[in-house]
Amino acid sequence: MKNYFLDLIRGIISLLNGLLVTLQALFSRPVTEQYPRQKAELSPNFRGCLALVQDDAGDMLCTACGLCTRTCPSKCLTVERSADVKRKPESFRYDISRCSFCGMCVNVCPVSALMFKPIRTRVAVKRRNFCLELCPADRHAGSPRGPALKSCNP
Amino acid sequence: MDSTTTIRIFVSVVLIAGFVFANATVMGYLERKLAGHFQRRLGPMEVGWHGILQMPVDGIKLLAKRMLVPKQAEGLIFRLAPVISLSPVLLPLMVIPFSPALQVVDMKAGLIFVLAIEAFGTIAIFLAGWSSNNKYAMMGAMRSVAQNIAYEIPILLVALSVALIAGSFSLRQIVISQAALWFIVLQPLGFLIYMVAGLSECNRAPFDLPEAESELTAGYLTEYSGIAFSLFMIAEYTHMFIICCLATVLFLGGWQGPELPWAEYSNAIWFLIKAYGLMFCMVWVRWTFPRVRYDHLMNFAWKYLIPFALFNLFVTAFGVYIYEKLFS
Repeated sequence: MKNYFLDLIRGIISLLNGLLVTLQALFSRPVTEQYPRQKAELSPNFRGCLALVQDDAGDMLCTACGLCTRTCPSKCLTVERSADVKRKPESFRYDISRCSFCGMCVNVCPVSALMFKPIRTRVAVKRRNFCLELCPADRHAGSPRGPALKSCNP
Repeated sequence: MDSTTTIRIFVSVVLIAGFVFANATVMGYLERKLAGHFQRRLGPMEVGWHGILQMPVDGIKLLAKRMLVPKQAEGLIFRLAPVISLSPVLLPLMVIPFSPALQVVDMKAGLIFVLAIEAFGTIAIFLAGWSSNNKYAMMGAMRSVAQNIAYEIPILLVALSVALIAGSFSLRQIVISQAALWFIVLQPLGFLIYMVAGLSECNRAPFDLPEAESELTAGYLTEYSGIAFSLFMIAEYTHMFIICCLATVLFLGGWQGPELPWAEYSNAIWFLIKAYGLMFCMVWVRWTFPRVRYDHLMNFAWKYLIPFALFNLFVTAFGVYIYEKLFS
């Protein structure tokens, strides 16, 4: 009999607690973002799309060692060494449609030459357009930081 | 019956039907909006300013949709059930006194009438569930019947204690006898029991077992589409409104309140403020608590609500007896 009333009182208190929580939620600001019109700040850790890091002079940090290609679990990276410049990539292909954004390539890179860009969307109508060439055409020494991402054939 | 009474009743039926649909539209919108904000979302935002046209648009969509009748269903009853669920909800609104002037008929047994008609909803739900020839629908219907049998009792017991104090079953008389003191002060336990049982009576969360979507798809509504589905929804919102109106009449002093700037309408406005305040609480409860487990639901009615309602009734009866001995 004592438990009967104790249960009842405990129950009522916990119900009132619950009501209080939702009431606070009612009077606090909604966290929804009306997406196409409002865009939330992306976190700096956001894994949107891979990109090669360039130094201040515009030189690629990548040494074309190929560690990332071997680590990648879904084999979406292809690096070709440059024939004329030492330890520089000729091309750095990245198939974003196969990438699972695990970040192993970024972690394994010995010179920290890879990073994730906080890009929200990537739209294409052809499958081959998801295969990106991260290495800019004028890739060595003093090149301006142009659009590093353009599509290429896999 | 002279012709003015006939015209009066005809006009009021039309007005009440209009009110039922308007109430369902407004409550549907408010519920979705409040549900959003209780979860720190925004709710409907796209159709019209802050989604204000969402419900009319949804209504048009449901009207335009075909009502599918399953091959194995009991066709006639299946089609009849939504109508049976909607039509009796108009009747209780006829006897509810919105203000001294705004009451269609003042029945001597108005309280009993409202509660009796309210129970019709269960029959419609049972017909819908049975005629659908669907296991989910059948389960929902059976749950609804069992639940409503259990929760009808505390409501009646509490209503009886209020009637004891007021000395009348007429809703108008009950409101008038609250001029000095609202009955919620005399019957706080009764009010609580009434609201809990009332929530269950209109099958709303956390007692929405007849349409528990996680277990029963949509319970008795599973096979319904188009306008039939929306008729059930309109009936549900009207049930909710009637339960809140009755709570206002029984416990919150009905139309009584301080005079507002529009003196002529202040009574009706007070009534609606109180009723919609209770509706807000119902929405609040719905979006706070998870659904009760079925055996817990039954335990709660038979082990808690009914004993407490009986206790409340005996204490009230004793109090009324003492009061009359002392002051008359």
